[in-house]
Amino acid sequence: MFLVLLKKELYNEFRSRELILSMLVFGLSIILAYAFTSDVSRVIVANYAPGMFWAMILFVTVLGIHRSFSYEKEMDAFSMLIAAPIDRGLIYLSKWISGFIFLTVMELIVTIPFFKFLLIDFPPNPLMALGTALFINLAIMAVASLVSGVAMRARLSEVLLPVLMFPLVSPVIIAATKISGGIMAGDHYQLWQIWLLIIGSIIVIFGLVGYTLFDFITEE
Amino acid sequence: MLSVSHLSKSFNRRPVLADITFEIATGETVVFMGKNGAGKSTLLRILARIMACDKGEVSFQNHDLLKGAPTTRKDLLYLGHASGMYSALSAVDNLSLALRLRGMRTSKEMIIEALTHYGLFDQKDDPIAIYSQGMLQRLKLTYAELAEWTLLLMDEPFSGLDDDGAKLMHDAILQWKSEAQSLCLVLHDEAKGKLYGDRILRIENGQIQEP
Repeated sequence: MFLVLLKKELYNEFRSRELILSMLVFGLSIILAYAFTSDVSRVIVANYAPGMFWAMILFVTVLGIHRSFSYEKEMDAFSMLIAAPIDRGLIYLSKWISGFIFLTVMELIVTIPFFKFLLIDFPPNPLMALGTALFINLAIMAVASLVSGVAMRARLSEVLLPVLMFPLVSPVIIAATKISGGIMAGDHYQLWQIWLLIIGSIIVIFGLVGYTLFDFITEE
Repeated sequence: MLSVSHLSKSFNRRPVLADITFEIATGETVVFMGKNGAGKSTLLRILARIMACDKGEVSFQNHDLLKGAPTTRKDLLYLGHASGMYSALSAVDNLSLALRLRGMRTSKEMIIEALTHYGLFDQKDDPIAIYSQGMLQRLKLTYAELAEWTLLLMDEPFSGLDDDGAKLMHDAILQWKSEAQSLCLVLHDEAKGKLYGDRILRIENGQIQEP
């Protein structure tokens, strides 16, 4: 059933093309704003680049996850979903994994413009950068999917979503910045592995909480 | 088949349903009537487990519907005010998805045949975002026709339907009644309530008034 739900998420996006496109346009706009306003040396920009990148990802995630749950509110499709005889935890898992896929696709597209426009060098170990980014994306979406599930039933969900999400996802963004900073500087893994463990803990905690509680938080 | 006991629900401390108790037998059609805001739709949404109640118990086919496993609502189908489907997807894709979520593998040919019967063949591949209210009602009717259920909860089934659509809905309800399926309908039209309902339950001031 999980695959049916995941396919639904991907196919819905394939048909509407609203989610990735809006994330992409917003992400590229932020990169352009960064590029045209950072009138400092390349060394300083390189120091701030990890924070700038993950801050951009945070804003783009809010946009994407809000759209993902807006699909459900249109025509009350979410009622059909939760009234179906399925484990509602699987709905959370499908939102989480599809969000992870959309975010990763968006990141893959915006990464090259990010480095090129900000005139900074690519990380010395691109594979490690990619691997950790995937891990971080999983954590961001684990938090975002749960918070969105909580916020979507509220009348002002578009206001409530960032208010709830930013504080909860802050530890992930801080850890992500530390990890990416370490990779960009070519630091040894041991110097930033603690941040990776924090990300791993967040994935486990929010994954389990989301799967378990989604049954209750989705009811009106 | 369905037993509701001492069900209550409040919004902003205003009781909408207050200690409601009733039963629906197998093959019975119960029509809920009442003023706007009386709590009819709320009751159906609670029974479908879309909305949580404040207190009370609901037993469906001798299983606790509110606390039981998801499979306890397998034979229950809810069709609300809205279409309950995805606006970006076509009618065929939506029906295919909705039926898969109910554990059914229905062929595309069967879905198209049902859509043809309900007058949606020409628009079967269009995103349902462009459908009119009446077409969405026909789509819900098609879903009810294809899905397997023993109790159908239907909120204002005639809303937005033209004469042809209303005739299709009328025929479908009579067909289901003849097959001894249980129906729980929310209607506003007294004449229709008497025509379809084995019992009419009026909700007033949060209570059920049975004539």
